[in-house]
Amino acid sequence: MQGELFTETLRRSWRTALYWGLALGFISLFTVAFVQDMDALKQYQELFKTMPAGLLAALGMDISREMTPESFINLAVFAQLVMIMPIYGIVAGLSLTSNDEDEGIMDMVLTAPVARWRVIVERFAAFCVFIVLIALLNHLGVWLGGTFLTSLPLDMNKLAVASLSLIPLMIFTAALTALIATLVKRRTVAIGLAVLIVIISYFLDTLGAAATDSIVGALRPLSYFRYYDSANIMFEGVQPLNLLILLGGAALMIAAAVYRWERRDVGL
Amino acid sequence: MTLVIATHGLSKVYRSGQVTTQALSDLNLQVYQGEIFGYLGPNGAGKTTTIRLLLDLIRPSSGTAQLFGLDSRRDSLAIRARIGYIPGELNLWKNRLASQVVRHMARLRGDEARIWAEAQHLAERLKLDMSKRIRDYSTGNKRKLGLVLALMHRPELVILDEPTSGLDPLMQQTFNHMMLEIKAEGRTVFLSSHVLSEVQAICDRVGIIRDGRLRAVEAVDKLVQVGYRDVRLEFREPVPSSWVESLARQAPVSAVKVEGSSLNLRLHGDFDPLLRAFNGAYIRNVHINEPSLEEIFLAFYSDEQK
Repeated sequence: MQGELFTETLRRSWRTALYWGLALGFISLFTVAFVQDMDALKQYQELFKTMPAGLLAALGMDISREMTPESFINLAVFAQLVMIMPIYGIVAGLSLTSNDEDEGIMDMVLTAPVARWRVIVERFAAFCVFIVLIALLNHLGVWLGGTFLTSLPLDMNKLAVASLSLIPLMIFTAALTALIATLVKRRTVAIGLAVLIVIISYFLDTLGAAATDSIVGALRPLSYFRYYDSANIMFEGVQPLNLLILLGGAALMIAAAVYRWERRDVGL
Repeated sequence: MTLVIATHGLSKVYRSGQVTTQALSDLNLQVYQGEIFGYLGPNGAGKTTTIRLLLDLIRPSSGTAQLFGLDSRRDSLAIRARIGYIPGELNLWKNRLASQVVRHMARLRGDEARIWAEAQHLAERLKLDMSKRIRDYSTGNKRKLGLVLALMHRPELVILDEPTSGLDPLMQQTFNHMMLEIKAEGRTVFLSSHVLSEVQAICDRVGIIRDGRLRAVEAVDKLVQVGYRDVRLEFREPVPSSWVESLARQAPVSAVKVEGSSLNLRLHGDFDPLLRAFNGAYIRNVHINEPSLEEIFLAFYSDEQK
């Protein structure tokens, strides 16, 4: 039956996604409530002025701009989420083929009349739904905190756009991990490689932002984190090119994963 | 007779870095509709590799396999719709209920209501409680669940990899009945095993595989007829060496050896001529070793060559 792998993945993994979303939502809720009013925000701004510009740039803060409530939320919430959310992307990517293959379950799935591409495409679609759910629950935390726990005048539309912009980043990470898992077969190797690439990519972006004139700065466009830019998104809206790079890259990697998965031995 | 499985020069080489392992070499095998075919060999002989090639889980290094006249690679989906399979070790999602797994697999096969009804019937017959989580199942119950998953859609070909390991004797009997029923319905069973009694009880033909090569294929009836037993007899008195020659004349024996008051020999036939040949000598004990099917095969083919 078409779509059965999609719905079964939803049935089997919705709790994990819900817990992720709730956990991130709570973190965001309490982080937003951390600064109660504009006076407190000004104190933070004075503190930031004493910090090295490179460090602030690495944290995603543009000191040439006046600090606004939204840019503070970006620093306090979204800069942290960028480090946490790829972990779920890796979890999702491993769940397409690697987990079942490593545990010997894939044999049973593939002895049913199921085309191999369906395993990747249907499960990936299900995890995209979970990623959207997690981003929405996270934004719910931001919205509740911003509405009820602080008196900062927050532009909720800008924050919503920044929250939803996490989706392409996580989808890219999931697709990257899925591709690695079809290339290397062993789950432990796939996890190691995915984590390595994510960490290198993250630091290439943050250090590249802090040292724009260095070699790291020149290599920064190679990092996919470069194309998730919550600060710019809040000030200038969604950047279509960045969105295209992340989602297009994810689609290409899923296509490559399907190509490899269709052709290689399963299990063992 | 209609061919259900036909392989032509099927080979598989595994490569891991610099190391290459020839897991299967030039397999030419035919299995016909309505038979129970036993596929025997020691661990690492190539049994599971053959099965995984037939199921298109792994791809051949050379050669082809056809099932129902369809190519195992090109027509894999159509073939898998007509096959039921139990792997050597059944692994499933540990936190799911057995019923949830069965329903999921039924939906993947496209006719949930009919397949689920058959699955319930099989579970009842195997005394399997499907309301438990997979992680709570014993090895035996996992085997039963494997049988349910393999048979619930009434496949035309059932491929079973060591299916009875972990089943108690009563359930083994039930399993044998089920396989014979499948055969009676004109369906086909391909069974890998190393249990001689299981193969003798239900298989029509047997193929022996060793070191990735198919050594022989023969009807079980024919093999059992040429079967022999290794016998050790312990006497109260030392055995005279003159018995060695006289026994060979009076009873169907070979490889006669005397060790003090014990006599070791290979008996090819009934016991009665052997016991008469001892002419009332006092026998303290008799040890009988049934040969493995592979040993019978070797004896059978050495006899054929003679």
